[in-house]
Amino acid sequence: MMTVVSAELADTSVGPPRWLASPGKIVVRLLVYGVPTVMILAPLMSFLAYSFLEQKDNIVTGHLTLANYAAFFQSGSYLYVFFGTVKLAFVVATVALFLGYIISYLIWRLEGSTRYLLLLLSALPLVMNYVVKIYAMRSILGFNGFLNSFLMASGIINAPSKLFIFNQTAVMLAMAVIYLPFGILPIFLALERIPQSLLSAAADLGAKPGQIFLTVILPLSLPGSIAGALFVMVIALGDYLTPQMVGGSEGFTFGRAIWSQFGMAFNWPFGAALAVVLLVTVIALIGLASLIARKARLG
Amino acid sequence: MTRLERLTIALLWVVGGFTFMVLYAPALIVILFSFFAMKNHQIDWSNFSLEWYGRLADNSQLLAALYNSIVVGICAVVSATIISLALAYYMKTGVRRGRAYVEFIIFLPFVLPAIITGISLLVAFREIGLERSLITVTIGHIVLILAVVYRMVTIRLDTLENSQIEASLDLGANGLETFLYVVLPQLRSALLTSSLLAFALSFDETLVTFFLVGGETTLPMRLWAMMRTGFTPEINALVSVVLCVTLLFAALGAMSLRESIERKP
Amino acid sequence: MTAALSEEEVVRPNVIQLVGVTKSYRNLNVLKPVDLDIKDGEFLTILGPSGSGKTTILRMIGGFTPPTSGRILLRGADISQVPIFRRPFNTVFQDYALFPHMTVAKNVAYGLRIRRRPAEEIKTKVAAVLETVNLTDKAERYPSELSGGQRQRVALARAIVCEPQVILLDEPLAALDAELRRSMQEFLKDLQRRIRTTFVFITHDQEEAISMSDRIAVMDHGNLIQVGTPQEIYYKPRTEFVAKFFGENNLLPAQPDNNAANILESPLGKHSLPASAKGGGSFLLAIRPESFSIHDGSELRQGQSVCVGRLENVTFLGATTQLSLNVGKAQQTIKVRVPTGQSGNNLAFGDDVPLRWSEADVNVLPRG
Ligand SMILES: Nc1ncnc2c1ncn2[C@@H]1O[C@H](COP(=O)(O)OP(=O)(O)OP(=O)(O)O)[C@@H](O)[C@H]1O
Ligand SMILES: [Mg+2]
Repeated sequence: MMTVVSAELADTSVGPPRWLASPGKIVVRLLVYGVPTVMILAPLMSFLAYSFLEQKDNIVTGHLTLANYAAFFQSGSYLYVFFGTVKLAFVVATVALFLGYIISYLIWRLEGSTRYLLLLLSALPLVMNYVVKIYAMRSILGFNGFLNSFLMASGIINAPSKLFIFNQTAVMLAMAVIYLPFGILPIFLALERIPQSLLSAAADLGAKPGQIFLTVILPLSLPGSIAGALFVMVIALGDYLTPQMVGGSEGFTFGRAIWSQFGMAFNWPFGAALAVVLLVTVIALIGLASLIARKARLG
Repeated sequence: MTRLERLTIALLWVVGGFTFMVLYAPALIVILFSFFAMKNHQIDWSNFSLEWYGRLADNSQLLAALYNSIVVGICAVVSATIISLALAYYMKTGVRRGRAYVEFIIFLPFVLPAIITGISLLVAFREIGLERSLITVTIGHIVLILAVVYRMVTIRLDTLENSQIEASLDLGANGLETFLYVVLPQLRSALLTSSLLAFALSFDETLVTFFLVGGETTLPMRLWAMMRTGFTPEINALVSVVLCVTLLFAALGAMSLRESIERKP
Repeated sequence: MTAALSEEEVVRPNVIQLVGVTKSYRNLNVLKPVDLDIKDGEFLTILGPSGSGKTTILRMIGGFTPPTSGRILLRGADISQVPIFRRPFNTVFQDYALFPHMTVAKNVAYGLRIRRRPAEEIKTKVAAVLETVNLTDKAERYPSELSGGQRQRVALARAIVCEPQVILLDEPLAALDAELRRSMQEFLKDLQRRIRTTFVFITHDQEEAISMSDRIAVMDHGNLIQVGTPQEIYYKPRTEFVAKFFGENNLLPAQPDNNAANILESPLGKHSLPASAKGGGSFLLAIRPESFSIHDGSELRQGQSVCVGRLENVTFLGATTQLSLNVGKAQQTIKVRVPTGQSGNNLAFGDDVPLRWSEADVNVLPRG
């Protein structure tokens, strides 16, 4: 028995020297670090580079320039759209934070399978087709849509209102509905991270449920919840299809501005520069979110 | 609980219930539309029919788009799974200085807005002269779902004790055998969950796909195009079917997730 | 038994030799140069406090981590470059590392399957090994359905079925409760005698080491301090650390006598300085409590000495009784263990008790 194993051993001692294995290792290392770099980082870099390219008469000349950025910062309308979109995304995130917190808190208080089921139900809209959701939102908000029919039937208004479609409000409402589920999950997780012992301790010290909520639960879960809401804001900032569908000409957003440079306007370098502005904004938001989350973890 | 507190909670449930209703309203409306005909932009409630479901089979463009979506989804999931497995196993079997770098890169498309990822890939594909087609779409989907698959694989792999791998090597298995006989079987439920989730993401992907799609389209692209030119009711039927199927998949995924949590020794 | 063992030792060849093996992590030197010979068929225990480098040595033998310098020889051949899966050793892991997705039988068969042995052979060997570890009826169970002790035996079975030249065990009993631990100790020892395979066993439990091992290697702070039979380690410690590590011991300061260079002076009296302990400075004497007996006035034999101590305390330990006595000018306290009843019942605190011991039981150690 032992001879067999030692024969195997002898094999290796006369076999190829160890350094022969290293080319294989180099290939593996190249693949491991190369594939993500080529697939993700390189495109990002080329897009960044694009924003510094000059375009003349619809042709990218290849000269480096800051003109694309200058055009953005000097144009009142683009700046206006940019800040309008930031505001819009902020409102959407606030709605998501408010409603998401209520839903998460209610689910969090539950126990057993209802808890699991409701959590699942609040996450399920995430996998419902995005285009369908926009389309359905339009059917709800539209001039002849459900909302107007409902309001008329209940006697609140007596003629269909144009308040809910083809303007910023419509975009805001549609985004709030579509992106709310993205807020619920992080908020729920923030609540889950509160140690049960703290709640028992507070109750033991004589705090009533309402006081426990205000003094323990809310302060401990708020930072994580805000981080979740910022995530919603990031998604809302980049959306260019919802505004197109329900926003009409009044609901023009920064995402649509970028998109149009790659579509109709066909000025890729300028579009890339606009996207870089968006990217910087998003990175700032993510940085803020992780700062808040880290502070929350440190207590 | 005081009366005030009880009242507050009840009020919150009202708000929560209303919100849930709003969340599901889009889906419900589409499903309703799929069973009733429209007359003058109003639903004709008197006319329940399965006609639109029957007509589905005739809309060859829609079916082609559905087929494309499925093919793209499967290719993207399989590729992303292979890449994730290779990366995660490499990171597991040694001290890897570059781990933080690789993970940072992989998670970028997940946290950045889709429009950025879309533009990046669009620009990159043009630079290397790759025509827009289902292939570029698939690559885009791989980039997007890689974060999800990689994350779920590493979460499971991190709970796998190093001694499992060492024990296998110790018993005479080489790296590949160890991966096949010891590591992979223990990743099965994590892979199932991540595949379901990733497929759902790919199937629904719109905002990146928009930049990468060529002549042949995927289902969301087709739906978008039809919406702009006027929705025909069979789309409602198709969307209802798709909704039900994705819900089924999601439920399966959620269940397998639950199972994998419970089966942890 | 000691004599028989040492005779055998002479003819036993070395399976594994560590030659000047060291290990550093970054700048941290966790293992000073270690030379260790592991003999064919012996039960060698590596013993030491937590963090002393026991696992590091075992992992280097197993091939899980390469040594920073030095060589590891298997029957004379350097195996430093041989990958884990080609080394004819098998490991029993501290957490057992059973494959949770395989039944007990599949777990045990794994090594043989990997080696592409015929199905028939695998079947008979697995059955035989499961028989050896008394787990025949659990063959189709999954590890999660077994108790701690059963898992332990599966891990053993999985290691021995491959018929390795050496079995490496890293604190395999640490996770078991006291009773199970004792029965597993007996089982392990018995198993090792039956299959006559070399066992390298890690523990930080001295009693376990003494009761199970043919030889013990004592480690401390990355140093291999002493290797020897349990008797040698217990009665002939070579350093203060070893003398303190096992059971109760008396450690007494000793100085060279001013007049005679080869005489040591201690609270017990005068001792001749052994040739091995040369050099000036001070020394420590180590002598076990049970090496003393109460002097009954009978004639002293060759090499025996006497002194007198003042009784301070008496502790009844069951079969033995422990006396605390103050000896010497400095009133140094020593412990003496005598069979209960032998001391007579007429001892009172403050009495002067005459003690007798053999100079051969006194160990002279360098002072650390
Ligand atoms: N991968 C590592 N990186 C850095 N230091 C390490 C590493 N592994 C072990 N060490 C250090 O080496 C020293 C010896 O560790 P080792 O595991 O061999 O101790 P041990 O004797 O087995 O202890 P225990 O009884 O606690 O298992 C310790 O100080 C430990 O901190
Ligand atoms: Mg250890």
